[in-house]
Amino acid sequence: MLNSLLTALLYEVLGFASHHPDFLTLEAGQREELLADFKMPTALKHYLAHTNEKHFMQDLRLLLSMLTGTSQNSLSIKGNLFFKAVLEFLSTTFAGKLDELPNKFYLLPAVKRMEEVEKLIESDSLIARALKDLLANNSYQEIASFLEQFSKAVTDSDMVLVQMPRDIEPALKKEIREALSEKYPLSFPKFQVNRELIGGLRVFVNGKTKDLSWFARINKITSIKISS
Amino acid sequence: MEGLSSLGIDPLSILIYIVNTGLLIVVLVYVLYKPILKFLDSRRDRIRESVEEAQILKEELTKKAEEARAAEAHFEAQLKKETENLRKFGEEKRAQMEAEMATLRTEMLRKANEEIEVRKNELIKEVEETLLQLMKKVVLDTVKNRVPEEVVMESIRDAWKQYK
Repeated sequence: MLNSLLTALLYEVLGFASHHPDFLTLEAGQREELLADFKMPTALKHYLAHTNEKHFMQDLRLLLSMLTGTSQNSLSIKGNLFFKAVLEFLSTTFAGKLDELPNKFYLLPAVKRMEEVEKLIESDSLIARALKDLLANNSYQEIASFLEQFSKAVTDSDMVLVQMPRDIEPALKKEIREALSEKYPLSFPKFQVNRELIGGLRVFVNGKTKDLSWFARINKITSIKISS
Repeated sequence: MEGLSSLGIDPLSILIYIVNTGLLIVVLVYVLYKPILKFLDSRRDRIRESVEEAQILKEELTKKAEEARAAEAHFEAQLKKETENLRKFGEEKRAQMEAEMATLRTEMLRKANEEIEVRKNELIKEVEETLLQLMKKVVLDTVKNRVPEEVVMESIRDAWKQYK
């Protein structure tokens, strides 16, 4: 699912490197100045600004081996800084865009979906196109599950699930995601509508539940023993 | 003598008569009197023996009767004692049975009370559960279908604030 995005990232990075062949020999400050005008996610810019030549080449090889399917061990990306930067981008910026889409978006026909996605992501870079394809051609569950797996493969991040009785406005979703991402770095909090909750919300973190739903309250009230 | 002869009495004949009578007496004594006496003596002895035997029998009878009376009295006493023992035994048994019955009755009452208590608690529990389920159903139905959308949204915001 991420191949097109990773290919786009590789393409952009290699394009940038071909324009600045001495980039990796520069100091971090100079690199940041050069990267300022480069259309690239902030997390990857930060990675490029602080990596060294050796690690960069290793990461490129790993990325290529993944894209060509020669990597035999999926765990080889665990802890890798490049993939961490990709994950950071996906779990923050991209997840924010994902949250802006209403639930009904996933029920729209493909053409309409693409129109909505075009409105959401205005850029027309290769990376943006890859992201648009990702959003237009997959359901929320597919994207969320994949990102969760990717997050697990790159770091031992926490599994966070937020259940609500209704779809909430993007601003609140963003607030919740930001707060949870801060609390559980590099995790990908999933949002799920569960009408049984009636009100409030329920948060699962690595299987532990914090239940603040009305359903839980009603259950609590109705489980009180009258005779005791 | 001649006078006697004139009267027709012959002295010889008288003598002869006397000798005859004497002879008769001797014969009678030896032939009749002695056997009769002997017979009478033996009869008297038999009667005396019979009387003595009767006396002995009478004494024995008296003794037996006394023994029988004593035995009867002993038996009566024994019977009385046995009857008394039996009555006491009966009383003890009755008391024991009454005690056992009382214990059994108490135990049965206790068990019955326990059973009633358990059943009562079960019934209360069942009623409670039914009531709670009903309450839950009513509450769930009410909050599911009758709570405005904005209230639900507000509840999500509040829950999030609480979570933070």
